[in-house]
Amino acid sequence: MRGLLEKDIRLLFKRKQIFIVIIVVELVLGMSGSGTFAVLYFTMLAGIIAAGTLSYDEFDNGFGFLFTLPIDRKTYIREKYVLCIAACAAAWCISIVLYIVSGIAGGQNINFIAQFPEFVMIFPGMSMLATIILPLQLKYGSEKGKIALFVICGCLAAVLVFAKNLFSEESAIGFINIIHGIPMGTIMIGITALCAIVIFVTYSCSLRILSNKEL
Amino acid sequence: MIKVDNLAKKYGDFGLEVSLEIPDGTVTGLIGKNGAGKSTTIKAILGLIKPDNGHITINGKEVSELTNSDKCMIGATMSDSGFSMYLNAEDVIHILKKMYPLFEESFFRNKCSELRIPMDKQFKDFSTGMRAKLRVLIAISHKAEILILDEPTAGLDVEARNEILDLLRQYLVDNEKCSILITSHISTDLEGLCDDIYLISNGKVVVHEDTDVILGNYALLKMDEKSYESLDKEYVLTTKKDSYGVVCLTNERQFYAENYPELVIENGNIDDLILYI
Repeated sequence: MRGLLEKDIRLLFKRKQIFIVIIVVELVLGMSGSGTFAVLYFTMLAGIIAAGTLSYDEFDNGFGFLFTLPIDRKTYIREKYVLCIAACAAAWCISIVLYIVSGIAGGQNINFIAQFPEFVMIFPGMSMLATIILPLQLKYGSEKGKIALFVICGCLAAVLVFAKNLFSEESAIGFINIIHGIPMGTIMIGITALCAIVIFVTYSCSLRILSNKEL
Repeated sequence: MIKVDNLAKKYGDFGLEVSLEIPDGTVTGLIGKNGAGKSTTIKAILGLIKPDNGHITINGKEVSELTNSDKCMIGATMSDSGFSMYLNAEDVIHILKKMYPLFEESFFRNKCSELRIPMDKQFKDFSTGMRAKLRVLIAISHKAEILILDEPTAGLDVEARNEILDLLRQYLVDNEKCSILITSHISTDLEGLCDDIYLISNGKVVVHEDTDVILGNYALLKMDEKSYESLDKEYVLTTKKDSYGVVCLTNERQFYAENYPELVIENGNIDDLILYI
């Protein structure tokens, strides 16, 4: 796995211009006080870019060559998940530091303690998003995989709209009040557990897809 | 040792059914027309595709059960794929160092310099020859006991081909027990390198001979229709008729040379096998 990580990290650093642009955007967002969005944006992009290393492997029948090396399919999938989650974790930490630094430099009054629960929930959420991309790319290829992701997002949006129409405004307010009644710690643990379950499900799907793939 | 026992794989109308054996210290060539099943066989041996039937073992172990450390003893090249085009040779050194415990960095660097492979240029800017040389170099730089090379010299000029063949010859000298399975369309490459040859046609092994036997005993017999009628066909493998007469492929050149002195007899080679069988 160390060799695969080395390969992917080297590929990621070939795109250092993108990281510079993201950091500049991050600093601007930090100065404007949009802390949650800044952390979410940076963490999400890092996860998507890390998941995108799969398309480098796929290009020009690269999978065929990669699996002649001392790598089995399980190791490959594990490495991609480690890479995506590690990229999200690194981006999450860096973006929080950048937000605090740029906020202080921009004269913002940052209440980090109040924002911290939101920040904490961004990391598992964005890790989950990045790992949802992996089985889609493995199954449909990088181009069709993006279309499949848009379709899934569209379906989720349709379900939300349908649910909104299904329930009255009073019941929605009641639901929000119930959420507000739950301690923040419980919500954080619940969201992290949900994301961990989704990540495990996508991992199993990715492994099954790659195991059945003829290279 | 590689042993392929009744390997079967079906893709629509095409069916592959082959058995072959590559003992330790042997260089075996796999030849055949495009679409004959060479690459499918190579992919099955490398565990890239799952056979419908049959067994493939490497040093007595089923390919599907090879661990990552078992795979360290294999060096492979694929005709149409390699590391990402955005990497360079320097990156590859760092990657291979982490993958192979026996990776020889100084050997790799020296050979890159000898073969004029730039260290800091992305592979997308490499010539076809540079890419091919690098693919072979990657396969031989970690003391592999088995090399599986799919078309390592395809599309190269004479100089680049010779450089790759010299690399392989030197590797064989340095690693006497190493086995090589190689496919190529260029018969002269195989004639100078292989101990034995398997010819695949329509997914089946139709000839398996030592290279010396092919070069020494096989021949093309050229004659007119009348001579063909009176020819003893016991040792004729295939016959083709063209506008100039009849051409027969035989594996008993001596027999026809002694008994039919009037025949035009041309020494056989690997190309003739591919063309006439």
